[in-house]
Amino acid sequence: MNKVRACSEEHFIKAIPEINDLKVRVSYGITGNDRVPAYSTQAALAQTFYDFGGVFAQGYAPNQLPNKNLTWETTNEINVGVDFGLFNNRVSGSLDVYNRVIDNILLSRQLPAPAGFNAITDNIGKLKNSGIELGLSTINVHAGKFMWKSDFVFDKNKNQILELNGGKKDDVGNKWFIGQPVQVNYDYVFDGIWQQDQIEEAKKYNQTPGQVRVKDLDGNGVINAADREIIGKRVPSWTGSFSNTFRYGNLELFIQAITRRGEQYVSSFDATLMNYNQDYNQVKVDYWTANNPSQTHFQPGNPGPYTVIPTYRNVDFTRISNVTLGYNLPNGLIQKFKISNLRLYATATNPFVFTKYEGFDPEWAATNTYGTAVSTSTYLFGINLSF
Amino acid sequence: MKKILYTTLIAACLGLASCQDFLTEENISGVTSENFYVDAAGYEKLVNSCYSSLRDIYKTDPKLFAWGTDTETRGEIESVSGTVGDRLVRATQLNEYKTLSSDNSGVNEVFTKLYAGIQRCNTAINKASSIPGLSDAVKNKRLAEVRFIRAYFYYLLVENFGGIPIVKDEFNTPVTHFVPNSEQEVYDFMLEDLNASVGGVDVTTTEFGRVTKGAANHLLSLVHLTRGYKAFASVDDFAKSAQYAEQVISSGNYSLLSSFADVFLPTNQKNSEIIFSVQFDPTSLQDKIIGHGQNLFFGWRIFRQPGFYDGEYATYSRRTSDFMPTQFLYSLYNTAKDTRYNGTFLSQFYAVRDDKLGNAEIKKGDLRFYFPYPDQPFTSQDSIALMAKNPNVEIVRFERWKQDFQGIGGAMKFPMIGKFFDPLDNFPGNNEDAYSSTRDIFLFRLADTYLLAGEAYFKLGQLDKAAEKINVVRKRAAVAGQSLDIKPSDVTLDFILDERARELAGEYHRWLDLKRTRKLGRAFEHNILTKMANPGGVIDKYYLRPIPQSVIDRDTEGYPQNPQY
Repeated sequence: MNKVRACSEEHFIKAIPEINDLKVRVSYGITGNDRVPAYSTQAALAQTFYDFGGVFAQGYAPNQLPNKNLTWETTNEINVGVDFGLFNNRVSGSLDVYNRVIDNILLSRQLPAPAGFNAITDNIGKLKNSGIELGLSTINVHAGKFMWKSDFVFDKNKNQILELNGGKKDDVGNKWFIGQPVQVNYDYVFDGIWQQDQIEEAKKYNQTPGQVRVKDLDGNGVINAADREIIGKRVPSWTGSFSNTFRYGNLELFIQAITRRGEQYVSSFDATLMNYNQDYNQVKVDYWTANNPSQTHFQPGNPGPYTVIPTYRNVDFTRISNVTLGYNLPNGLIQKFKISNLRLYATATNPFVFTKYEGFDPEWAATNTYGTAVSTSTYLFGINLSF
Repeated sequence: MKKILYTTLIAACLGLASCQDFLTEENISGVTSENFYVDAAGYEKLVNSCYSSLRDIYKTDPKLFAWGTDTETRGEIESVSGTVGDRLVRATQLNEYKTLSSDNSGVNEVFTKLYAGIQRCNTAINKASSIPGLSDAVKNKRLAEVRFIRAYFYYLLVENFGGIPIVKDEFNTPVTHFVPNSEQEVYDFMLEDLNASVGGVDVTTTEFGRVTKGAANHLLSLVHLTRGYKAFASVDDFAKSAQYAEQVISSGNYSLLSSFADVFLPTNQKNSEIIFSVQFDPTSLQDKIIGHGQNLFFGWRIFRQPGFYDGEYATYSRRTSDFMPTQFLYSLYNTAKDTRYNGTFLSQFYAVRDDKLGNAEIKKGDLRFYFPYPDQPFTSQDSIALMAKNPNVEIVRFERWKQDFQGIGGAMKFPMIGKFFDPLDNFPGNNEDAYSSTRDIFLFRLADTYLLAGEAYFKLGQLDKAAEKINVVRKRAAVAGQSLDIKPSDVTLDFILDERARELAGEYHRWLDLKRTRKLGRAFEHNILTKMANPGGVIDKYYLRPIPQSVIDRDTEGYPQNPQY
């Protein structure tokens, strides 16, 4: 169902001169979805290798567990939106608020090992996505030859598991928790580095000074599965972009910034290039020694069992994703040369990023080990010429 | 920005029964269980995949079978793909026990792979009766082979983890809750499989590597022997163990080679002593490179030494010291009388290329490393004489055949176990799945059968028979003109374990041997790192591994952890 009401047609709105346009949209829908990889209900096969006395004995074994019980996931969505234009359309935009509940959501469920397979596609429960999307375009200054225009986009989504297997019980094995997003980091809690004066306490945990320390949350003197908690999530709390266009006559400057907030990843940069437990050179870090009681990086060669824990990193960033300066040569000048349009421009893509993350690129924190999968910065000068 | 607006049409479709058909898939390109296991040829491929899961257990470092024993310890843990990751953590935990936790990735890996293999076997067993064109004769034979493999996997599981769930069904829906069976039930189940298997498999086979009656009898002997030590043992377990072993010995299908070293010739993998081995061959390696690493793990990184870098793998393999022999293992041999010392270890290493050692020239073929016999005098005169002839030699004495870390003060150089050397091994790939030995891994061989029989007779109190069986193995091992014979009164459990160490070094039985005989304490005495970490010695807890945390976490109704983990 979809209902659009153009409020700007109402008499009482028309009476307000500042409002040029105002529409309210309400929509509600139910959709079914079989968003599953092909053949999930069948047991696909993979080749295996063996021989008998040197004679190749090719084999085929099921490489996934079929799920004969799969069913549709259904999405109930309600969306309320407002489109508006104000002050002579100097300010225009839209605001959407939505609430989407997916029942029988199809996800890959990890199985206990006696099942013989690692995971299966399954209807796992009920998930809620709710959020706000705001888009705003403003013409801030328009005076003579000069114009300054801004575009602003804000997107906040909250992802929440409502039910698992028809109940309210957490599924620790899959790291799914009621009330939490699907993608959370559930692990031990980093608590610095064991120090010289904690040698006795460290000993109780079979650790030594210099090693990574994690919190004994239940205080029972043993670090075990019960000492894990949700320490972060791998979905942003909000994202946004902000672009500005400045124009003076034929000269135009465009600057765009994007931001992503609230995500946490295991940083592969930390794990491979700031990890003094490898046999190749590492980035210089403030590592622990008997004379340097660092709380951030373990003693080289003495990591202890929890090396991965300090590599969970907040990857908040703001990036200037595009800066373009362009100049259109005046028509009068170029027409002499039978040129219909001549534009000179310089573009910088991803010139700056503002972040506390120490690796190559916060946008690709989980994958940027060997210099692959990073955003590239490009600088381009160009001429557009048309006859 | 604009939200997609849904039509009520789609919503209405949900109510229609025909949507059910919409979900039924036709698989056009891929093969599935439903369209492939439909004739005898397809079924054979399923059975082959059950055999292949034996490789999965052994192809990386088989983590649960060597570490933390009296004969093997951890050396330097080499990084793979440039990262150590948690390899050092898991090796330390498994070798030193004290910190062993349910997060241990090695424990998780073995547990997971065993159940993956079991699920393949279950599929093969379940499907056997519905394959058109599969003759009863072939069907019964294959079923018997697969039930043997399943029983072997349960043996590895139950010995490492104690009571675990008996899974005998082929699954086609998600099962998220399991209840462990008692150890006793698992033993009953294994014996049921094995008793069915032993009558169904071929006595001998033209397809070397298939399960035969000898293999089933050997495993029956081992399983009865193992159960015999337990609280729930049957009174006749040791008698049965001896009896099944005797059946193998007297079958006439197997015989000990006259030379211990010949058993391990790379060209002699189908010799008359081999009862069951995990098959590898250059023609059948996955991606042409994925073999196993038994030829690598029991050495040290000689390629770092002048005269060896690059090319040493053709002569010595590119070694790692993941499973480093303990000093105790070397000390078990009477090297003047026992051919197995030289048959097992490499004590001399010759440069494989011209090189420089400081200012000195090394020529290819120069003796570079020499490890004197640990039990024979090697005087300073001997030393001087050797160095006079071989100016580039480094003599490393027994006292230094230890780790060079944690203040142990060894040389991290020691005689390597050389009996698994594979001239066809390619340079190992850049991950731990890419060890490339093409040699079969011997799981059961006749010398082992003799020692199982000896152990069973010992437990029955028949020391003369025990000595007789053990002496067969020792006779073959003796240097010509020497006798290694023992008297019945020499036979003790520790002696049997020593003998197994001498005969079977590096053959991935050790942890299971110590577990069976309740002699894990030997590791806490003879494995330096294990001893250092556990001054109090072994505790009961260590006779079982922790249940992997993922198994507990993913079980929707809760799965119990083993005691004290």
